[in-house]
Order: sequence, then C-alpha cells, then structure tokens
Amino acid sequence: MNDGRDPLAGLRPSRPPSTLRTRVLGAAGEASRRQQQGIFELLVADRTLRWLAAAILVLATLNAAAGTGAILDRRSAGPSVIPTISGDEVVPQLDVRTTAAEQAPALASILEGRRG
Amino acid sequence: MVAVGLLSIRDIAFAATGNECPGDAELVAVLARAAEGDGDALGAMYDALADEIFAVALWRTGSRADAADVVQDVFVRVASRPSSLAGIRHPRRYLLAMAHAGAVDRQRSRRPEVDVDDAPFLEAASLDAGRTIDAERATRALANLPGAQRVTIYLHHFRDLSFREIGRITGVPTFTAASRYRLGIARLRARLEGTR
Repeated sequence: MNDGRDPLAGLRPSRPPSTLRTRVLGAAGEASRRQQQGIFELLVADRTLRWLAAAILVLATLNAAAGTGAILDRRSAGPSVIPTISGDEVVPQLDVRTTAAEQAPALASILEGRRG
Repeated sequence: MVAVGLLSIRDIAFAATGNECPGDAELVAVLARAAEGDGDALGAMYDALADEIFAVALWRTGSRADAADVVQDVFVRVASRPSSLAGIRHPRRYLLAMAHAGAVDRQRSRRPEVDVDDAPFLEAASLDAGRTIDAERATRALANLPGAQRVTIYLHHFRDLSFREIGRITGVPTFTAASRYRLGIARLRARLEGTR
C-alpha cells in the first residue's frame, strides 16, 4: 500500500475454486484437440459441417450431370458468318517493289474503269 | 511508492525504460512451449496466472461465476490458437488484458435484472477471526465501487503493477488508471471508516 493507513492490510484476494483447474484445462485440451483435427475428423464431429459438405457434393454432382460443356456451347454457338471474297472482287495490291510510275501501266485499266 | 494518486518513482522508471512485468521471462518460455503445442504448458500457465486472471475478472465483474467463465475463455482461446502466442513478449500483460476484455464483455452482456452473486473479493491472509471480519467488511465496501476502480485497486495494490502497465491492461491512459486508483481507494477508505 502507498500510505500508512492501508485499508486492505492483512487481506488477500480470494482465489479461484479448486475445481476450476480441471474444468479449464479440460476445456482447453478439448479446444487444442479440435484445433489439431484434420478436415475428415471435423466432418465426422460436426453435424453442420457434414450438411455443408453434403450440399456441396450434391451441387457438384448435379452440375456434372447437366454438363457444363452444353452451357458454354449455348453461349458461344451460333451461325458462323465467315466473309468470303470472290476472285473478281480482289483488290489489287500495290507492288511495293516498284515505283508508282513503274506501276502505272499495270494499274491504268483499273483506274480508268473507276473513273469511267 | 510515494503517495496515493501520484505517479510513483517506480511508475516513472517503468515508463522510461519500458521494462516488462516481473516474471515475464519464465512465462515467455511457457508460452513458447504452448505455441509449439505442448499440452503440459497450459497447466504451467494455469498455475502461474490463473489466480491473477480470475481476480481481474472477479474484481471487474463482481461475479465468481463470470470470473470462472472468463478464466476458461482465456485458456480455450489460447489453446485454440497456439501459434498466435509465438511472438508475444509480455505474456502476463497479454493474458490479463484478454481477461479484462472478456470480463467487460460479460458485464455488458449480462441482463440488468440478473443479480451478481455475493462474491468475496478478499479473504484473510491468516486464520485470524478479526481479519476475517475485516475481509467481509472490505468486500462489502468494494462491492459498492465501480468495477473499473475495483480492478485498478487489485492490480496496483495486490499485484504491484505500475499505472502505465494497468493502463495497458485495461485499455486506458496511464493517468486515467492512476485517477481510478486514487478515487477508488479514497471511496473504499471512506466506506470502511464509516462502517467502523
């Protein structure tokens, strides 16, 4: 105490009941064992976890039975439209190996046809 | 220590050096064993700290039943997450703070119409009938104090913790802890003198 008139002199805090040690260490040991349990032991011990695992299993089975590929096909499938170009409509490509003047004779018919 | 209500030389020295609680070195070793999953370490930890944890919870809640539950909660939490103990440098402070927080939670969640049990906070240190009567009178006086003041009195008077350390355990500034002690001990003394 800090001064001469100690109102708590000769007294001490009351202690926990003697039975508490067994109870506390028992509960702590149980918690420790649960912490060290694997997933299968937890599933066996816990009914809620068992229900969750069963629900997940059923959903996965149904999904597999329905076929995930079909869903993907429905989303992406459809009439394919591939552009085709006939030989007459081929656009002539410039020959980059020659100058414009050198290409002029080859292009003359095309250019004149457009003008006409 | 110097005087009630003032920070003592010990408190100031503690604040300056940041020294840990007494006995922490041994407890660090025990906690390290518990963190590695050593089941015997929990028993050693109980023997070292259960009295203090129980008293913190009892003096905070005023209920022996709640205090026993708090002790169990603390040890179950420790056993559930042993790896979390590995880096703790001040295990006594850590566990007492956990106990204090648990006691506050229990006190808040208790329905107001439920009476707390008639908890004896103190007992006579010797088999002296006079001291036994003193313990009963002091218990009645302590029962009229707020739990926050009561637990501060316990930690400072009986565990010799500095106000800085008490502040850390109870989650209040150092001067708040000192103020709670000063007010609490003054009210306790007034009540005891009034009942003589």
